[in-house]
Order: sequence, then C-alpha cells, then structure tokens
Amino acid sequence: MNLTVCSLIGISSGADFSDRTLNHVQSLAAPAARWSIFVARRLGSAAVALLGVTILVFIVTHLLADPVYLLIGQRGTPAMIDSLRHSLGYDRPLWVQYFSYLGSLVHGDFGTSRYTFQPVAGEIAQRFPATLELAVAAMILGLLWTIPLGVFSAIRPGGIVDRISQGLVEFGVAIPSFWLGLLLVFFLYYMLKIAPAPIGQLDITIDAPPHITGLIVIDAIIAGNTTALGSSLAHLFLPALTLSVTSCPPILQLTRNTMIQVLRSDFIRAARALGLPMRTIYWRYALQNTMLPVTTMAAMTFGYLLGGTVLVETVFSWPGIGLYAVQSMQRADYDPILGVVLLAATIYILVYLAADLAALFIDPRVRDAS
Amino acid sequence: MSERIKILQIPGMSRREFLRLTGGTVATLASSALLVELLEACGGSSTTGASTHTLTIGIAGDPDTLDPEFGQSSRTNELIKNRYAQWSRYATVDAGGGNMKADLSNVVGEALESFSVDADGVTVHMKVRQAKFASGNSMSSDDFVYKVQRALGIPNAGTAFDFNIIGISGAGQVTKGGTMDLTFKLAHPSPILGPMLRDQDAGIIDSALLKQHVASDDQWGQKWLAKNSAGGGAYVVSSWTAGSKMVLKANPNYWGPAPYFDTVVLQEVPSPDDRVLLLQNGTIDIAADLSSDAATRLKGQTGVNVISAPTIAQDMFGFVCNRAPFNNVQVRRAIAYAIPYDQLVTNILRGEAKVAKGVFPQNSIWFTNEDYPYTTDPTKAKAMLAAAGHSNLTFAVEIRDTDADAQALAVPIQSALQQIGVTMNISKLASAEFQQHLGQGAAQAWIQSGLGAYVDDPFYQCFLWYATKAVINWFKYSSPVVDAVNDKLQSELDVNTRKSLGSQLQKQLNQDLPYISLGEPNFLLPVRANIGGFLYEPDGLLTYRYFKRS
Repeated sequence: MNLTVCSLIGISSGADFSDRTLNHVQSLAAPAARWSIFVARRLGSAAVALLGVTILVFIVTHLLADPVYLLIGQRGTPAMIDSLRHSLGYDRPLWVQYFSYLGSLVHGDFGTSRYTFQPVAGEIAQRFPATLELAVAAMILGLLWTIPLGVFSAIRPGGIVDRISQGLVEFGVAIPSFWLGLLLVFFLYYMLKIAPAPIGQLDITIDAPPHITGLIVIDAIIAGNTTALGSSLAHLFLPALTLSVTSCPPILQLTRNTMIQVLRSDFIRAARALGLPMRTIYWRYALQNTMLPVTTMAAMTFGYLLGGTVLVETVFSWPGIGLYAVQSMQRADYDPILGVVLLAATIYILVYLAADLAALFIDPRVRDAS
Repeated sequence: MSERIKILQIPGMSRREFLRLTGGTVATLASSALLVELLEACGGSSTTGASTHTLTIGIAGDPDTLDPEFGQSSRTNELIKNRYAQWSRYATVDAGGGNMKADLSNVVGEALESFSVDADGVTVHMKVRQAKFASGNSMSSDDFVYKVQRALGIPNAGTAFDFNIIGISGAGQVTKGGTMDLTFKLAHPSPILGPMLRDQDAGIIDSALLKQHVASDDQWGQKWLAKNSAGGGAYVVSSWTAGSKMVLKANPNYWGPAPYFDTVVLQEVPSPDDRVLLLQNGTIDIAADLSSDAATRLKGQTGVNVISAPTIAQDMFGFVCNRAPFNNVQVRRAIAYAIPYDQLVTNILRGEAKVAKGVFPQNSIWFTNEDYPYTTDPTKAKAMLAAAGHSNLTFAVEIRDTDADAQALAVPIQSALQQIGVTMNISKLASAEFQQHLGQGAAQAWIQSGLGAYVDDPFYQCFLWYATKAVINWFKYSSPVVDAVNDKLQSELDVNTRKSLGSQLQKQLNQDLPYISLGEPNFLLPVRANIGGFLYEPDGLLTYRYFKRS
C-alpha cells in the first residue's frame, strides 16, 4: 500500500518508484558540487549586499546628526567640541571615515561605542542572545498554533474553525504588538496577578545562571538551576505569545490557502479513492506538500523577529538588541547602529539562504530547476 | 463500563481514536494546569522574597558610563553621586513627612574633613577625611590631586567645568601638603567653591586602584572606569547587566553611617506605563523618570505616595535670539503675552508647578521679584506682533522626542498661538539631533522641561547660560549688561553686593527675555507608601543612602 501511495505522490513524470528513488539519491549525492557552487554564489552576492548596506547606513547615520554635542554634554565649550570631533575623526571627509571603518570591519573590529567606551562586538554579543531567545520562543509558539489551525481551516473552509482562524489572522495582523503586550501585562500581571512582572528575562530576586550560551533558558538548564529556569520560562511566555500572535498569522493564512489547493490535487483525490485514512492524507501527504512556501514564510518571519522586536522588547523590558539599537540611534552612536544593522542584514541573508536550501531539499522540482 | 463508553462514543470514531482523543485532552489540561502553576509561581508581585532592605527603583534606561568625568545624563550623574564621595555636600534639613532637603546656605565637608579660604580669597586649605575607598585603600591627598589632574587632563571631560568655574584651569594650581592636606590656588576668589565641589562629577577616585587599569593608549583608565567603580561613596556596583538591571551594594568601608538599604536594584523598565503598573503592584519601590502627567495620576492610588518638592527647575521655551524672527525682542515679548500660563500649570503640569514671575525661578534664594509683566493677554500679543511687522508669523519649535512634558506643553501653546494668527510647527527630534541644534543655534525656538541649575547661584547661571560666552548659551543671547554682571559676580564674595548684582541680572533678563519660563515644576517622585527618607537637592538626583522603609 505504501509503495502505491508513494508512487502517487508528486507523480507527473510517470517514472516508476525505483527509478525515482535512484534519481532522488543521485540528486542528493551527485550535485554536492552544484550545491557548493550555489551556496558560494549566494554568499558572494550576500557580501556585495552587505557592502551596500554599510555604505547606505554609514551615510544615513552620519548625515542624521552630529553626536559630538550630545557626547560632550551640557558643559562643553566650543573648543572642547572641536577637540572631541577631531579626536573621534569626525572632522575627516566622510569617505575617509567610511574606508577607515571598513578597514576595521575587515579585521573583525566593529568599532567602539562613544558612550560606553566598550567594543560594539562585545555589547552586541551580550544583548543578541536575549533577542534570539525571544525570537526562537515566539517562532516555536507561532508554529505550534498557526500550522495546525491552518490545516484544520483548510480541511473545512468556511467552517467554524476556519472562521475562528480567519478572525485570529485579522486580529493578529491588525493589532500593534506593543498594544497587545500592554493589554496582556495589564490584565495578566496587574489585574489578575498570574503573570510575572514585565521586567525582562528573570525575576528581580533571581540571579542569572552562569553565562555560557547567553540564552538564559539554556544556561539555566546547563546549570541545573530550576528556579532560574522556571522564572525565565515564565518571563518568556508573554512576550513570545505577543510576538507569535502579531507576527505569525501570515504563516496560518499561507498554510490554509496552500493546503486547500493541495487537498484539491489529483494525488490527494487518488489517495482518498484508495481508502487511506484521512488523518494520514492530511498530516502526512497534504501537509508535506504544503510546507514548501510555509517554510519560506516561516524563515521570513523568523528574520523579522530577530530584527523587529523592539516594541515588544520595550513593553517587556527585554534586554535585547532592539532596545540597544534604539538607544544608539537616539544618541547617534554610529558604530553600534552600524553593528546592529549589519547583524540584522546578515541574519536576513542567512535565513533566506537557509530557506532556499530547505526548499531545495524538500522539493525535487526546485532542485531540478536550480 | 463498556456501556458507558458506548454512550460517550462519537459516531464514526473508533474506541482507539476516542481513547487517544481523551488522553490528548487530559494531557492538554494537565499541561495547561502546569503552565498556570508556573505562571502563578513566578507571577504577581515580583518582590516576593526580596529583603526589606532592598530598594528597587524602576528606571527608563541604562546609565551611559560609570566614569565620573563623563556624567551627561541624570541617571549617570545619580550613580556617580551615590558611588563616589564628593569633596563637600550641602547640609540637610528636615522637610517634613520623613523627608529632607538641602540647606543651600550651608556646605559641609564630605570626602574633605574641612576646608578654609585665606583672606586673599584665592588660597584654599583642605584637610582630607580619614576614610577608605570601597577597595580598602586609604583616601589621601594624592587622590584629590589625581582627580584634578584627570579632570583637566582628559580632553573633553565634562568635569573640567567644575574646576574652571571656580578658577582652576591647570593641575599646577593644586598642591599636595602632607598625606592628608592640599592647597588650591584659585585664579580668582570664588563664591561657589563649596557648592561646586559637591557636584557629583567631583567624586574622588581611588587613584591607586585606577592606576592598575591604565594602558599605554588609555592613560586615564577610561575603558575600565566606564564599567567599573573606584569610589568611596555609600554604594558600590555589585553587578550590571546592560539593558536589564544594576545591583548596588552598601560599601562596607563607607566612612558615614551605614545606609538602611544594603542593596539597591536599578531595574530598567523602558515603558513608563509599565513603571506605573510595577509601582502600583509593589514590584518596585520607586518609579523614576515619569512625566508630570504620569506621576500626578498616581496621587491617591492605594499603597503609593507621590513625593512633591519645590525646585529651581523650569520648563523653558527658549528663543534663538540671533535668528529671525526671534532676533527681534518685540516678537519674543509678544509670544510671552500669548502663552496660556495658568492652563499649562493647571492642565498639563496638574497643579504641581508655579506660574513664573520672572526669568529666574521663584524658589531660588536669589530671586528678587523684578518687574515681569508677561501674563496671558492674546490681544496685546497680537497687537505687538502687528507692530513688529509679524502679523502672520510662522516658526518652528523643536522638542526632544523623549521629553513627554515638553510635548504636552507644546500642544496648548500651539493652539493659543493659532488664535492670534501665529503658526507654530512642532518638530520632534532624536536626542543627538536636538542637542546638535541647541549647540549650533540651528533651531528658531525649542522647548525643554525640567531645566535647572545644579547650583543655585546667579554667577553659575550666567557662566552656564546667559553670558555671551556661556558654556551652553543655547539662546545665542548677548547682552553687555549681563556680561558685565557676570564678570563681577565671578569673584564677588559679599552676599549683599551679589544680591544687588543678581537683581540687575534678573531685570535685564526679564526685559530681554531670552526664554520664557512656562512653569516652575515641582520635583515629583512616586514611591511606595512605606518608603521615606527622600532628600531633595537642586540637582534632582536621588541620594540612596537616606532612603528608609517603614
């Protein structure tokens, strides 16, 4: 039965099972070089894109404001201002400053914050894990509710589940994340007192576990610190829920729409005719064929979550990279801004690359086309 | 039993499927119960388990740096004040309600045991207090000399201002006597020597400790001191997670009485709405950095007390006096007649402010109530503008985008001006751009809330703001009268003569109107009802060591 079903899935060539299996194996084993070339080309174009990002952001930030006046504070004389501008090299032509920055970047130096006197790379490394942890939690939570709901909606379009899910999609897309976050804080923390205070990753009275990965949940597990683990999971829940509700509805919608199309396709009709259990048809065969665009959308959402959580970070006092970026922009602290934007751009590029590779792996048609 | 299952069975569902569904439902319910338990365990009041000797303050953002030479923001300054012992301090007097205020006429020693000025007015003898830094190193005159050298040696260090204003521009003016003695040789007698040496920036650094962290490219140890402490104040930084929280512990070597709170937690809560909720729920003891509106709304809330203290701060509507249209004093005066002062104080500042009676604040000990005719009179304002040739005036006012009070004040002013045919465009700028425009005089006008002098003195004000060459003459204002007064005030020690000069200064400022005082706001601090021991000083910075929990 399984062989028969397998031969029905995705068949258009008419090749028999053993031929296609052989092709599949060949397509995985032989084109390692092709994959390498593909990845190398993508990384090459990524490097060009990143260079473009540095030029654009460098110009925009440097034209936005002169940070010297804020740096010097309220007690700076004109002579002190000129002296500081000279010592920071801001009196040099912009292109000289840019190539100087680029030279440092090539050597792995992301510059220094003019306020904290600390290397930007270190400050980002300290803050990025908090954002990563939140984004991963939001993504997991989002996939857990959007994909099953998308599938159930597609099984009976227009039914009660579908109508509820459409309502959720509209709600999630329409409501601003900071507003939902504030509502959750107000009702669950302030009114009902069942949620933890919006004060970041841990309760005030709990010390962070020893820094190993920077991800509090993981570090708490490694340290066997159940108190910190419980607190970190509790503190993670509301911001992750907020982000998953406001960022993941497109995944639900895409799952639903793609699934509806897949369920109308010939191979599903054939599977039904062969008497396969509906659960097997839905969750094993239809969903697998639905996952290609959903994977891409999930990757895009994850990229967005890593770079766009600033409002939720503000509401929940989450010490992530979004708050760091906003603080740096307020101060026109050039190097941290450039560092954060470069990181966000790199993440986007890598996430898209991973999505493309996943698509190659999942769908033989994409592989063949490439 | 089997009969019962049959009843419960859903048509078309096998027994196996039914059991799986039931099992799934039970598992879901169990995990939900676990989740609720987890949330309950960690939810609600997060001070559960916190010591009564821990003070938790909700703050808007991180300090920039911990280096006392670079105190730019109020949070940074507050931390410097609490971690470093300054040379001197104001004596404290009872302000009622378990709180205190600074006695501005009485400066006493802090890190210094005593100091005295010779009859020449420029030789100052100082005796260092027998005290230790948090590191255990003993404080000596070497540390005081090093402080001056560092403040003047680092290009761009803001602390240079503290010494320049009292007549010290070179480290050679400070000489070490014995281990515990030193002498200042001022360029001129200084009436504000004591108050300036109590400025938080003037905190004494443990030079022996800091010198262990200097490098060939960092001779003043700036990189290390930006993230670490080398002080002898009441508290030391125990831990700091940037963007999250800072924990301060009482300094066991502090020379003064041990503070009530052995731990102070500065919890970063960027959202002001969250800070309000956290205070109401008792998660934090003090909600700092709130707008006047948010703070006054907390009045009367259960378990919350809003401390209100009169200040010498002002909400300023600043004119850039060398740019059109405000290079015409008649236009500045006309605008002053159009401002709805009572409305601003009542509706925006919610009664927690005074309507101005001059360019100088009324709570200043130097205020002399000179003629200040500017009350709300739109008809007069319109007539004056017409006479000045600006019947249909349009101008832009700049506001810092984080200044909630300034934004709230700007709106009714915009409406009031609209009624007399003046269009005021409000432009919100990020801090860096706003500050750049102030420094360059690039705006036409600006509004800033809560601006006040850290030292209540007319010379300090002139040196800072009003003199043509003032450090932050954001008004680009220039008056020969004010400059002459400034020169005299700089070294005049006689109080009566200084009063007279201060009066001349106020008269001239009221006439020239480089800025309008929109109101003189009280300092508002929402705290839990059981928190007392607040000390108000003109700098508006909290002194943690006096706080107590009842």
